[in-house]
Amino acid sequence: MTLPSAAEIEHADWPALKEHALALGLNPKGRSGMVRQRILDRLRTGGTEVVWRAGRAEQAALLTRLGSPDVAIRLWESTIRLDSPAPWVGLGTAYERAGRLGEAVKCFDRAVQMGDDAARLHKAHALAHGGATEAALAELDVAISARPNDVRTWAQRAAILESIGRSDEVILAYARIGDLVGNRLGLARALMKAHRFDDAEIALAAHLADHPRDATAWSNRGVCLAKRERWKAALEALQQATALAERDPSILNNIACVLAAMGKTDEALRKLRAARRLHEDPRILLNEAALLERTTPVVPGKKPAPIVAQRPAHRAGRPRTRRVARKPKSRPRSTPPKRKARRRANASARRARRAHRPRRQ
Amino acid sequence: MATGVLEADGGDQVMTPSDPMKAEHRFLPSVVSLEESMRAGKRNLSAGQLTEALGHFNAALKLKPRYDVAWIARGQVLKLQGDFPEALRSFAEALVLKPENEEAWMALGSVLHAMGRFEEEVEAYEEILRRNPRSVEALVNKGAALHELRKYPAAEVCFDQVLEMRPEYAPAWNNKGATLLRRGKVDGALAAFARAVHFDPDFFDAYVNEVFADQRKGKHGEAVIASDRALRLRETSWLWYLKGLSHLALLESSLAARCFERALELDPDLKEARRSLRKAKELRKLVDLYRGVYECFGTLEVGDPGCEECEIQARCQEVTR
Repeated sequence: MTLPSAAEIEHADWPALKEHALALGLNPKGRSGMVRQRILDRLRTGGTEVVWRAGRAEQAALLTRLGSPDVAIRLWESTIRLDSPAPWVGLGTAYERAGRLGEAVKCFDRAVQMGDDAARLHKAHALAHGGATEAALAELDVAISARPNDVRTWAQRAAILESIGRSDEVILAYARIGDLVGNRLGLARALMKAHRFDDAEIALAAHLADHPRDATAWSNRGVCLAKRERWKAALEALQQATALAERDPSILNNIACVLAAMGKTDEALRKLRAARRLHEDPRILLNEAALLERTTPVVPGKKPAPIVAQRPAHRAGRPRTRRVARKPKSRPRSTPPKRKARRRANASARRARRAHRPRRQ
Repeated sequence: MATGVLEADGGDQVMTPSDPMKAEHRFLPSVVSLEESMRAGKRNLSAGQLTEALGHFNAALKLKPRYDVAWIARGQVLKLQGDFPEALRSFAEALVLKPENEEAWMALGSVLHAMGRFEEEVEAYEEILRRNPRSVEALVNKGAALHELRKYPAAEVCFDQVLEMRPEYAPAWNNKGATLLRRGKVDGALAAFARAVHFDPDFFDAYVNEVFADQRKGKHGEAVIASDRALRLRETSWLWYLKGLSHLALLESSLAARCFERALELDPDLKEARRSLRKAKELRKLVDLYRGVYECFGTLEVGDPGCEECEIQARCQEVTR
């Protein structure tokens, strides 16, 4: 039987991964990362020895990614050939990572001269990185005139335009991407940023017709409807979103805002608490504080306790050791088995403080 | 003149390697004995015959007291015998004779480490680094000594320097992770351990440190996976005990009890394991989750295709933090 390569396993999708596991007689059940690891372990220990070794170009690409661009530059220089633009792109990327943008642009220019159109995108990135956004946009315009249906170019153009706040052009770029790939989520977000909620809702409706299981799109649609004060429709859209992604704190927060606007304060508070348990976002805490302020009567002559609004700063300022010590007291009492489990966890944490040691040469 | 023998400038005769049998006649007796003693000492040392090796190195030093290589070899033997003060004296003698000898400084550092004199150990490595700032071994050992001295930021700097030179060096990633863990930066530590096992998938220490970090973060599902991988490489009682603790946290009483029993088989004196075994048996009366074939129990990841089609997702969700 021919074994798959490690690279093949690294990039295999879930059905392919399960097939590989079954073919090798391995357990195909569990989290995808675990199944992948299981197969890779098998290939490493039981498979035939890999004959491929990383060449200079592969090493250079790896070093660029790992954050050693200076070493990578030397390696890229040694791989440059007269007939291939790829090393020039690699060298340019390494220069860009090293902060030598002028050199990077020269390298990308060389790759463009050798016929690599994609190098224009790298050049535009380097120019935008250096603050020359107009030059970057001009470069992208040239790329678009050569390949008008290239989504990557349009996406880069949209990102650069967004960074300099030219919202009308951002919308045009995203509209073009929507036409090309049928994904209008970016367009809707750009429209929402420009406060054009009617148009955003139309874009989202078109997007959801093609992608009915996109929780983010449902949530954004709910926000659009809420901005237009169509509370009931907004709530329905957000409930659709939370059915698809039930542990997303931002959706829960949005539902709470809609419920609060509909006058259902208690229900809104419950949603905010659920969102806070998932993620202590300042926005969620402030919303909860505002609702609590609305519901708690202020005793005359007494300063109202701004507990929730100040909580993030208070927690961050508190010494870490005290926080760990106080945690069990402030938590609600759990069932006996869970308490025991927590004690084990604390004991193991103490052991960790005591036992782990660095390795010596 | 015999074939293969050259006339030296000063009138001494020098032997070529092709003519060993005539050595006794060609060299002064002391030179021949010195080389023979050194060779015999090294042979005994590699065979683990420490007393004989020490005798040979002492004999060599009687013949040539200012011979730094013999002092280092003698120090190594004494270190292996556990006579650290005498080993230290040997390495010091070698350094008096040849202060630029990197090997002697490294050996001195290692014996100082064994004696718990970490401050001086750091100085020894600094001496090497003054001459050779790119010595990876000295940097790693200096970092480890600083770690022992609880100077974690300085230790981290050392490991970062190593990683600048050798970004694929797994022990440096592991040590950096251990330092970050001590400083309470658990996420950073976990990332470093992941790098260490990426570059060396059979790195036992990195898996063990990952167990500590996961447990500290309350991620007991991940801790079980890491301890399993470590146990596949090396079986130790305390690691079984740690794995058992994570199973307890996941409310898997039977699996926890099995781990503690294995820990006690390997080390019957491990009191903590005995105590925990009792508790696991008590817990079993209340709750005992069963993971079946799911190795990843307690590590639910929303949106993962494997988790989406898992039969025990609800129970996994209960214990995943």
